[in-house]
Amino acid sequence: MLREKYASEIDTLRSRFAHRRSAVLPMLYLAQDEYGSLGEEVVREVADVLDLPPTDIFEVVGFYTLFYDRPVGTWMIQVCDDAPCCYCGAEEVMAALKEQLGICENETTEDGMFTIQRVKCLAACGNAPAIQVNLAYLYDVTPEKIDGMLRDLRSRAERGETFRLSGRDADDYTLAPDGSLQRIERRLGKTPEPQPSAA
Amino acid sequence: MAEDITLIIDGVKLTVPEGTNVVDAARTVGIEIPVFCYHPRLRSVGMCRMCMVAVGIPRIDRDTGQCLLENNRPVISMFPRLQTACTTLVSPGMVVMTSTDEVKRAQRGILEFLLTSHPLDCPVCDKGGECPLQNLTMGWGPGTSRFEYHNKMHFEKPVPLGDLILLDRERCILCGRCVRFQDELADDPVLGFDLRGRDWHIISKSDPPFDSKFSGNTTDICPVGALTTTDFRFRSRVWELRSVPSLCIHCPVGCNVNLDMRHREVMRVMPRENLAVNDIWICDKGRFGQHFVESSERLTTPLMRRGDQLVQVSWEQAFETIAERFVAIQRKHGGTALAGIAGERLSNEDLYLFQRLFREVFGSNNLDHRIGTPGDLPDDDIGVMLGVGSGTSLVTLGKGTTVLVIGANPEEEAPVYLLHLHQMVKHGGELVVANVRPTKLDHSATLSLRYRPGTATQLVRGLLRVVLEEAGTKHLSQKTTGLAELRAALNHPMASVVSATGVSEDDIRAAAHTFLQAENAVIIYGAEAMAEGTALSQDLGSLALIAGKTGKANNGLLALLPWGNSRGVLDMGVRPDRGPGYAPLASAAKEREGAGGRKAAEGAVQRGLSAREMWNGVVEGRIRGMYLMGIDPASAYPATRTALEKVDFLVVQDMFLTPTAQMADVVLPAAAFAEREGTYTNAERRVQRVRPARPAPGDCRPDWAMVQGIAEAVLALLKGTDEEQGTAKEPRKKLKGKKREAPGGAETATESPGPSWGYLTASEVASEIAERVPGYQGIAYTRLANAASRGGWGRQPNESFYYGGTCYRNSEGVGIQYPAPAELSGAGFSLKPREVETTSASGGDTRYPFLVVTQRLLYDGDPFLRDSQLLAHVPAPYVAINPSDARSLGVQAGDRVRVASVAGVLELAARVSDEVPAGCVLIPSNLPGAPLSMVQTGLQTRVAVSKVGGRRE
Repeated sequence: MLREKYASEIDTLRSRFAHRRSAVLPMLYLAQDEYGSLGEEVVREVADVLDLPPTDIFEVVGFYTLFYDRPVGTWMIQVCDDAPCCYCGAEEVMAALKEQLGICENETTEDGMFTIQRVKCLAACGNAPAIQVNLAYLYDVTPEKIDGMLRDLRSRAERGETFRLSGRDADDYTLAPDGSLQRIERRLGKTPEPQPSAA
Repeated sequence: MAEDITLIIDGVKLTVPEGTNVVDAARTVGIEIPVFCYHPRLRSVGMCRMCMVAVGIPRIDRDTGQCLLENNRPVISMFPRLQTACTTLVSPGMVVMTSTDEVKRAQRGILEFLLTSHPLDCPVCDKGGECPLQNLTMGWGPGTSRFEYHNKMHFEKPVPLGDLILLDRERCILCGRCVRFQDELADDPVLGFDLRGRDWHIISKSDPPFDSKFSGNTTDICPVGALTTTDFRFRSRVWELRSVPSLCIHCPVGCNVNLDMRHREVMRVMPRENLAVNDIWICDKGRFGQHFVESSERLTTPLMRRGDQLVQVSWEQAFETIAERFVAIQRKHGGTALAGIAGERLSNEDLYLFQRLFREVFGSNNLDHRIGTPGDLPDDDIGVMLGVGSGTSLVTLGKGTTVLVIGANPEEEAPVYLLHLHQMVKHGGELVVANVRPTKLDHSATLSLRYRPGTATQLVRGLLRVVLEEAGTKHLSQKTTGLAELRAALNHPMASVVSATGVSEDDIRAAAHTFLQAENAVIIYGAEAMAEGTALSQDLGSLALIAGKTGKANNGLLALLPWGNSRGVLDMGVRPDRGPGYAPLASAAKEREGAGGRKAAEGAVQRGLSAREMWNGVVEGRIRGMYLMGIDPASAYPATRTALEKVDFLVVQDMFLTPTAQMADVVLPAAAFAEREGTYTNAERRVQRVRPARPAPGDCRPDWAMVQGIAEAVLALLKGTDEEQGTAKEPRKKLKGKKREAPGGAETATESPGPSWGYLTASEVASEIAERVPGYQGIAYTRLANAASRGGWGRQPNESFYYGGTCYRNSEGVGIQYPAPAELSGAGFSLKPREVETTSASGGDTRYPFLVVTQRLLYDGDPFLRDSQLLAHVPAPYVAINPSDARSLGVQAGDRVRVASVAGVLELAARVSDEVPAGCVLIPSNLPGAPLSMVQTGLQTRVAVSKVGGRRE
């Protein structure tokens, strides 16, 4: 199905790299954006499109937490619990999430809105604790702002403004004092500076 | 050539070739550096960190570029951290220390860490007793652990990676040897790592999972008990096993194996190293497909027909009856009314005596090893005359070598060769693969040619043309005839070759060029090539001759004949037209006379009947008695049943009561290869030995002993009647011979023609073969037991580091490769092309529009697969059809289709595959219940295909 629907995009991807293998990550983003997660059948489809051994694609999906190997909620919230984030309060952020959503790690709320997960380093230690929401980065998250953040995410979902599951065009955000998401410009190779809050 | 580098390891000065890593370098002077992930056959990755050593290099003076000296000794600057020895290549003046306190501490730390998640379930682990993790822990590890026992990682106990291999994720130390083996050596990238951190584990997501014919090897090199085979799991503790050196007789590679025995039972089959044959690998058929030996259905006593039933009889009764009946037939209808067929998985000793019985005792050349189907491949003679030179080892090929594979699929026909060819390409060799359809070898090929079915000969003539254009006959060193005829046959424009074969001129030129320019070149041809008839092999021979690629090591032809001793069958002369050693019948008969035999009977000089002619002969009443040894025509070629029923007297010698045996008058129970001595000759003409590992069940005897039993009974009967009658009848005159001593020196009981019988051991038969079969001179059992004196890459005291404890070094003999006639001076060869017998895909009878491409499968209806788990891998009978043909026939994958030829009909499940050329159908030759012989009309068969139940609307 990917092959038919995204024929030109796939052609571009395949022609961009000298080795088919190099196109695995962008292809997986494409597939995840299309299907919402990368179940067994989807991974096999990607392997087929790229004419690579399925095992190799499963390895990539298994290694990166960017790829969801099972169905997830509208918002996939991934909390980095590696050392720097941990020092800056990641565990507290996790605890707040669990408490407010009433779910444990790797679970999805009953309304299908949120899934929470622990992940390893997101390479945003300068703005710890960092979390990822549908592959968008949220920096300097604190437990107090979790409530507002969840509210913002819910209302975005109601307005149909969810983020794509393609890491290729993910944005960066900080949280306003009320917890709402504020988009900041991504600076390549630099940790973004938090922008002054509009409030 | 790589330069030599001198370095110092633990105070020992040594010199090794450039590019050697520190582990291997240390090994050459007997210094052990413990490893888990490193394997000499695999790329170094430094994953396990076990091989940590302290490394220093001479400090260089920046001004002078010279080594800094202090007290006349170079100043060594040590690397600030320990290095992994497996990824560190030696450099001049390097100093390595493998047992400093710092190194010891690191080794202890790594082992302690590896064991944090290891379940320590050695008492129930199959690897226990030959486990590198156990051994290294005892040798280098700490006695205690600082980690909490209850914090160990737990996984569900073994999960299947495939149906043959189980994975215990708790035991796995994640060294990746199995993954690398599948990626680098087997070229089946079906294993990988999933997740990460403590959840990291091996997965296989191919369909079906672990889809590889080499999967068993991963359990050998697994340094822990993470990978186990369903075949051996929980069957035995390894220290109870007794290893008996043997061979795999399933295919022409002739892999060396060990049969690991507990008492009388074969508990497992393991590879035995032979650097000239299988290196340290075997395929899964060799490993898991030997259970037939212990089948409960084995015959145990001689059987004789009484009315409708086969009843047990004694050996004496069996031999007497056979002798009486055969002699009666011989007297009444002549020796040529007797015929024999022997299978290609019998040993040379069996085959040699079999043909002796027929030629010398019965005076008949009605001998064959084929079943007599219309599709029987012609005997391959060129493949031995111009065979790969002695000293050839596919294992070591690399840069400077070109291998041309034509009409062959080594993955199915000779699996271990696929590993060797893949490695050859990795080491810089050129691999040209020419087939009608894609095969797995195309992945490795440096040039793939796709020719139209039936045009391989034209393709080879195209190559010949280019070679002659480029080099003329300057490389032609052998004495040859027929060059003019060859040139004449090539005398048509290249464009016609291109249009006939569908291969571009550039590709033909490139293939010919790489072949010609290579320092060494080998041509491998298989079943699909041989199905094009002898014209192709003749031309392949001419190609090798004209390019000067014959008569030396790593050069020449290599035919992939079907079974483990298919070469031996031809060498021993079990065929109607040649004697042992490919001698013409007249000279073979003369040789026998010279050896003290009687004067040859007329029947012994005339060409005998081939199997195909025998079946007609039976129907026409010319053949009255048959002796079938280790072959089952009733299953493989059902059309023979009429003849088998009609023949007056039928002796079948087999391990099982096969459908053919059920029709026999006398059935003789044969010992399996694991129950006897014997020699087998592989595709490269390497003669190798098997040894008895277990007692044969019941009264089974080795085949050669039964042939001898018949021969002696016949001779005793003839002698007795001669004395009784005292009249000079024709047979008597013929049979007058000198009393002779057996080569072993044993006095014989009977007065017999030719060398006497009365062999006591297979070794005596082998000595006679060595004496009388050209090529086999000097091949005695004692010499076959010589093992290579050196391992190819040095060895370390504790071999389990390299073999995971479960492949064995070869101390029992690597066999002898006898020289090909092309290596001997004075041999002459003909270049004269033969007439092409094949038809191409286009044209022909419109009622039968499709050409059958016959495919050999490794896992097929082979009766030797009985009781093996591999039976689950044998596909249901099928025919593969090109998508466009399938569309026009209205056939979809899975439909039942009728495949009909002039000869008969098969009903098969359809597969649709674009790997099948249009206008062709691909049918495996021997799937259970659907022998292709039922529709074959010749080497090439044309068929009509229709959907069962009419056309789809």
